[in-house]
Amino acid sequence: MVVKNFQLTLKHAIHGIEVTRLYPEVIMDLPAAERGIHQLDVRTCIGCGACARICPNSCIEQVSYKYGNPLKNKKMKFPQIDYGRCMFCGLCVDDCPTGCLTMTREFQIAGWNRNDIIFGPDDIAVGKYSDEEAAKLAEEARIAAEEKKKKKAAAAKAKKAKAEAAKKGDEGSGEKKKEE
Amino acid sequence: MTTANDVLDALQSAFPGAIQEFRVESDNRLWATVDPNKIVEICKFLRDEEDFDHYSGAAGVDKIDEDLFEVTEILASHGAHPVVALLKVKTPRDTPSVKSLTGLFWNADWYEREIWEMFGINFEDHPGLYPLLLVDDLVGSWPWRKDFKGYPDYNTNERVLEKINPDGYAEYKISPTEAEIEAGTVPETRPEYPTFREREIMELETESEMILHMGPQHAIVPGPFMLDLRVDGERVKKAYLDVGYIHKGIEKILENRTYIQGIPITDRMCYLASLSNNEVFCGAAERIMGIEVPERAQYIRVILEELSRIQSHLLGTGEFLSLLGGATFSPFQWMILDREEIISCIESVTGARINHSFVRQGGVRNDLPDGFAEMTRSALKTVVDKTNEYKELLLSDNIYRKRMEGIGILSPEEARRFGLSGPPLRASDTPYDMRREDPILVYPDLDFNVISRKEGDSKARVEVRLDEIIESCHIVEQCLDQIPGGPIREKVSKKIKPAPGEAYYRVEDPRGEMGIFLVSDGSDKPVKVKVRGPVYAYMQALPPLLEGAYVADVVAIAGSMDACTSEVDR
Repeated sequence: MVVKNFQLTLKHAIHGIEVTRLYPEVIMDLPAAERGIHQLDVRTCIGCGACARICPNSCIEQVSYKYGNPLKNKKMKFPQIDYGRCMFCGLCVDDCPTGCLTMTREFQIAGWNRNDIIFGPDDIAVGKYSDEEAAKLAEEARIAAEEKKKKKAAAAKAKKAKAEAAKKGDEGSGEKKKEE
Repeated sequence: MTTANDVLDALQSAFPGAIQEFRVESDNRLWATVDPNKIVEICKFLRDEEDFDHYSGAAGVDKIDEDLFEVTEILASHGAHPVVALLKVKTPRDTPSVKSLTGLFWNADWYEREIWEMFGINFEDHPGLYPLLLVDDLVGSWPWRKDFKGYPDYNTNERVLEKINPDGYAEYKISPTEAEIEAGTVPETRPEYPTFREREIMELETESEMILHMGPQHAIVPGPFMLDLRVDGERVKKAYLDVGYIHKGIEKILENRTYIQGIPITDRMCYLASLSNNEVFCGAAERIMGIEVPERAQYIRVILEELSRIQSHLLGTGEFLSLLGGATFSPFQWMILDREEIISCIESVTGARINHSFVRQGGVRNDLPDGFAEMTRSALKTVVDKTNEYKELLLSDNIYRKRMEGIGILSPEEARRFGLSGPPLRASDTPYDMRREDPILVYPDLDFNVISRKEGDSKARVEVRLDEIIESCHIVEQCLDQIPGGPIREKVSKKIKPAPGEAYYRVEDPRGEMGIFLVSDGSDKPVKVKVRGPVYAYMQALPPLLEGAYVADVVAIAGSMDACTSEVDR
């Protein structure tokens, strides 16, 4: 039986199974479903905070981010992820209503201290606005805000006018009542 | 076949008036609230007359609204019938005391000790209520009660005594309240768990004896536990086991998480069986919610759980062989290689290699990717070929056989008495498998054999595992052929709020019977989660099994159980 065991050893030696992986240089193929570091599409994020609420370890915190879309809301907050606590369960990704938070195949995170592995929106963002785009958006936002202001003013004016008219009408009806 | 109704009729005719409430959930689940004074007689009747010879465990529930504690005894049978009886005993919250079942079932010991240290429920006639998982300092704070606020906490703060021991460390002791002394929950002179030196003084009988320390860190298991062996020369006279070194309080954590958030936490009970742990947690909630999982999702769950069983057995066996003979039995590295392929298959679906968090209440997280079937089939082919090779290799190796044959023999009666399940029980001529006994998912539609061996020694336990790998490959292949299309998740609202109720759901873990006893009160968080793990029973059975063995065989016996301490302590 010793011979048999050696036969097995020889068989495996000759067939040449590839055992050693040249890890840092060659990374093994990871599937599309891999749950690695997050990726945030800042253009579609609506800042609802669903990811922060579902996180079992509360490692997601909503923070403000200056490159966020100014057209939507300047005060909108984006997720910041503390990878020191994250256990890569993927619940945040499942719960994201717009599908802007996804997980990538990237898995190498290392830092010299704990703060290095807290990834803010800037570290995980994709589709960031370029400066030009941001300026354009800011301009659009300004115009939109102005229009809104104008509309508001107009609405207020209209309301005032209406109220006055109603007042007059009231007075009129009062007179009518008096007449009766 | 005996059903739950038959058992209930027998109980009601034998003990008129002792069954205060009952609920027959299905043919194989009987819930009953019984008279606390008659619990021992009722359990004796069930054990002797109705073949309930498997004591599955006990769970305590703190019903703070009703000012009550509930202790649920879970009884089942080793193959005579599929009924699981869950007998509840109620006891008032200020003087909690119930009768101990240690006189009837040998393995009730640890379950009752755990309930005592966590809830402060006294068990009358229990031989030794030492803390099992907690340190001595914590006894008296009763951490699993609903009004527990941390340690040293606000509700026991006045009773905490601080003492500086000779080494300069502070030791705390919580003195019992008067009500607790009256109820006997904490006797005024409680026996303290002996230290190593005290045990030497207490236990050593002759000059030639000594106590050999194994652990808390030891190579035989991937987790800390302490095994003290009282040896006379080469023979082990007696073994003392101490667990609780990695108590994580997972059950308490689950009470503070929603049902969805709890899923990743269950992974951490045992990383080799994380899919089964997800399954058992979600399945219990599904039972309460009364939802049926879509068929495709059921098949996906079965495929992944069987793949997970294959990888667990490969790692368990390989690791054991490398421990047993150092470099002599090198299959460990080969088995790791095979396991990599299986893990890659699972990873292509779940996206993680170890902690999957994949099963959801009402279905699964995502669908199988393209090309999964081909990838898995080729991996299974390799695994089957290799496993046959290993079996041949081990059978033909004289050194291996000399070390393993006739070592650590468990007779069928003993194995049942110890409450074992899974491969160690099946190696002792008891074909008891949850997939057959308590069928869940699509297991009834699948064709598979329950592997068992007659010998009951260490070699048989390893052989059962190797054969189960091949059987699991067979199951996965069937599933891949039969898997239908369709939805993968039942429509469940995002905030899962099961109706008030309770359920006991059990699956066949790679290591045996894994059950979760779940209580819901209609809110989005569970009230109580009790995990009945298979390794808990293995560990409890270890000291009697080691008695009379040689010191050199301790590794061969303890390692062949494939224990995972993380699951024992939870």
